[in-house]
Amino acid sequence: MEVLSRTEEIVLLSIWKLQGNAYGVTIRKQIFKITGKNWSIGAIYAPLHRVEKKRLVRTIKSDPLPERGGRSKVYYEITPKGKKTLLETKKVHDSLWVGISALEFERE
Amino acid sequence: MDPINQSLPKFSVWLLARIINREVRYSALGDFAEIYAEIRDNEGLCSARIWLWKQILKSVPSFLADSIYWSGAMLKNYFTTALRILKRQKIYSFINITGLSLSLACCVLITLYIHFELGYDGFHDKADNIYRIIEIETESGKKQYSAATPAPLAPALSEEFPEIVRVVRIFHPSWIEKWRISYEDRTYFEEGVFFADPSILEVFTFPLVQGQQENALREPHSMIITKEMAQKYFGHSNPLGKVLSIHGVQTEITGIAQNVPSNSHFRFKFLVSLAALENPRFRNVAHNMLNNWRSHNFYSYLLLREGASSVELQKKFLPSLERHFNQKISDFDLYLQPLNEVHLHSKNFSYDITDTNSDIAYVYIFSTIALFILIIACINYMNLTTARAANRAREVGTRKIVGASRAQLIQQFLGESIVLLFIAVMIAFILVSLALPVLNSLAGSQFSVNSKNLLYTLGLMLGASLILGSAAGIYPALFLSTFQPLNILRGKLYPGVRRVHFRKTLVVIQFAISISLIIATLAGRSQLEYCMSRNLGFDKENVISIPVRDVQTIIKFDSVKHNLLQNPEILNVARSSSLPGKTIGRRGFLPEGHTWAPRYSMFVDHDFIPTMGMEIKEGRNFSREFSTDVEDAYIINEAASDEFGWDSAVGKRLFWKGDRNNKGEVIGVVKNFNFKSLHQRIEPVILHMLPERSGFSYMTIRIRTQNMLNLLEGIKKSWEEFFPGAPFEFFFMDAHMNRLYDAEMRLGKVSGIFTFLSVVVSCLGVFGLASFLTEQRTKEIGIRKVLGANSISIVMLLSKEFTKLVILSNIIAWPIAYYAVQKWLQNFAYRIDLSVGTFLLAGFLAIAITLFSVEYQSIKASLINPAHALRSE
Repeated sequence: MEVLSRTEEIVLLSIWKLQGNAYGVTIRKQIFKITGKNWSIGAIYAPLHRVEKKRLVRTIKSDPLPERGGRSKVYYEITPKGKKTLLETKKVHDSLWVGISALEFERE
Repeated sequence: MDPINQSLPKFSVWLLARIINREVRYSALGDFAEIYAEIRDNEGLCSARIWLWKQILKSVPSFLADSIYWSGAMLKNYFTTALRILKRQKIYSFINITGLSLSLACCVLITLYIHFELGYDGFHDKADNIYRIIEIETESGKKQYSAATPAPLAPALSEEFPEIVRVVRIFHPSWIEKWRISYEDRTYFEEGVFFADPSILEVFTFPLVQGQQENALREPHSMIITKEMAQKYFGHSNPLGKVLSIHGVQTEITGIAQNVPSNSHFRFKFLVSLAALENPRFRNVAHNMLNNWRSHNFYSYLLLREGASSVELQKKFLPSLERHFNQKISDFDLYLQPLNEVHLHSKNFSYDITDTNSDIAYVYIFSTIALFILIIACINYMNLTTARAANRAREVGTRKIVGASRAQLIQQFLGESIVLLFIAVMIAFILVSLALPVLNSLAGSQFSVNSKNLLYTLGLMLGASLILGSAAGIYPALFLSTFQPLNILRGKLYPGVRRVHFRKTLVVIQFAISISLIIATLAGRSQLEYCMSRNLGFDKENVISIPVRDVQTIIKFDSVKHNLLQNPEILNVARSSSLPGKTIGRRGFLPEGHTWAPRYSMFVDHDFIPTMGMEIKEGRNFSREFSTDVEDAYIINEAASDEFGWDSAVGKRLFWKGDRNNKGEVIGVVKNFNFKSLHQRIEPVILHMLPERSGFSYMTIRIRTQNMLNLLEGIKKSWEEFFPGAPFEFFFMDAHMNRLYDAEMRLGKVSGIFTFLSVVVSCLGVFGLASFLTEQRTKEIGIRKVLGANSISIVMLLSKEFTKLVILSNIIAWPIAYYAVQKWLQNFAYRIDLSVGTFLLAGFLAIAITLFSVEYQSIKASLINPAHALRSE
């Protein structure tokens, strides 16, 4: 079983949520929506590159677009393996939180 | 419009392309472009630019983290491998590191020395515009250079040519080695007394610690002393305004200067204003010289206007002089020598301001040695690395199959070289700091590693090691990385063996270099021995000379002489104005049937020729029986007689000062004697008599004794009786003559050491190579032994190969060394013939040393029980 790092998880979940409209710019906006933080482009691509290498996402290129300086958009899409890994990661999270009630948390 | 140009600025694209990982570069760049375009359209170009650069800065860490992480992992792996290999193969590592660190240390030392030599006089702020006037006289087609000029020359030139901003004249007579300086009741004899125009402080950079630069030397009887001297004479009290007496002339101290740096071509301790020479008490030092065009005794320095051309200027000098004297001047010219050339390019100048000038040739010689040592160490490294290639073939194969690219392998091997080098650099640094004082004392120089050049030294070492590392590492790296993994892993190919010829070539080069160095050292040594043992035309053994510094000595000479001669061990006592090996003055003479010219001449007395052990070839010595001898008699040497074209010199006329009314006559010819070093041919010299009770510079004593110490003690005693309080100084004639070869002696010692080191380094290499080759042939030796070979034949077999190589190196080295040594010997007018023996000896030494390094391995191999060698198949 593979556990994802927090950044990888965030990136993967953003891609999933974007439902096929996930490429660099939109992923970055999505992450801003979730975390409230403006990640640098570099900070997004490091985990993106890793999850791609682990074959958790695959890429699809669009036609070249003038607003991207003549480059294509590179869309990211979660692979089945990616989904599986996300679920496993969630399971680990959940089991980690078992037994720690919100009440106890507040008492601290 | 091209969409790419429409978007991101080019430079940012270029920069991003460098830092972004190849695999995501395309899409990340697209993102940059898209957001950039969006911001530009909404908020304007300016904020888009700001956003872009902020983004790039913020992205750098994350983009780089990835690649650093991975290459870091590989680097760590390379490093581990390198260290493991170093540890596993202790002998090779030892040889490589020793060789490299020795050669690095040598190179750094030599570079420091060269840097020091080339940097002479560089500390003067205006160094680039300072020139020295050199006189060129053409005598019978040969150019004679002299640094001494008449005092009125420089001011006269300066008046005429606006290019000359300032003029400095310096007076530092070579005929006075030490000056009597007293303060209150203390008297010292000091070197380093210079007289100079006040402008010296303006032209040169000699910062004052105390006193004002503008008027420090303004007054005729003022002087500047160095901090060192201030300490010596006044301790902690303030020296300003104190009065020192120099040869009895009261001189006020108006400034304290920093000690003159060791890389200054003249180093004063006392700087007296030139005007002081007008004082009548200096009459016997500098009589009527300041306005005299005929007295060539001053060193003239010019500060030229920024941008003025010295070459253009010096062309105008001669016409100007001709106008000044209203006559045609032939066989004479002036030349402007740049200040930074004074130290290294004044070798053949007579009457120079200093006798510590070096020669650019030494800089070349040492650079060559440094280069040679580096080459030898590089060759060692290359040879050992490629020879062991076979052992590492498997590693290369495995790495390649696992996916290493050739570039990565090259990186790895270069990396290994660099690791090795860094260890070597550290050791070299320790070696340098240990060796520097030794080298300084050997070379008689004063350079050191200090805070000023520490950075330079470190940089130098790093630079040298990087160059060395890539030079030595690049070949093995290229070579090792070409292996075909399949072949290697099948165990088919031992590529190392293929390169035997290349390695042999390198070994031959290495030994050729070492042998050349050995020959040069041996030849240099025999030339030096020759210089010291050659018959100089006088007997330099058993002669003591006492420099005369005092009028008292001159007045009391006869009684001193009488007193000394009471001692049966003292054979003779003589006076003279100069001595062989000291500066000898030139005076104008007109020989009968020849032309007037300044010629070397010495004042001597009746006893000089017997005391020096010179031989009269023709005629007679000066005699007390002829009262006219004092005024009118001359003794010349054979060279003079030859030059004047006289068959029989005795009775020929010789006019001093070209005055035909003089009754001068030659009464004798003395056999040629070397009054200069053997670098120079014996030139004509004229001896004439010292008038009674006139000034002279040396008192020379011929002795014959079994107990030198006793005798010296005796002489000292009578000296002190006659001259209470005056220090007793003396020198032995033979030691004094040998000092003429100090520079060569130092060169010999230092290059001897470097030669030795280069031989050691190349032997280390051969030792390593031999041990490797023997190891490879263990099985072959085993089989040979089983088949009946005895140990001796196996030793022969193993040594034969290296012997052949060394013989080949000899054949290459001999002509090269012959040429180089001949070139060096050209410096000497009297020199040895290179003997075949020197070459054979060098060759023999090289073979012996090689066999010594090889033999250990081969004997060890030949004694192995063949069963051990063969059982592990």
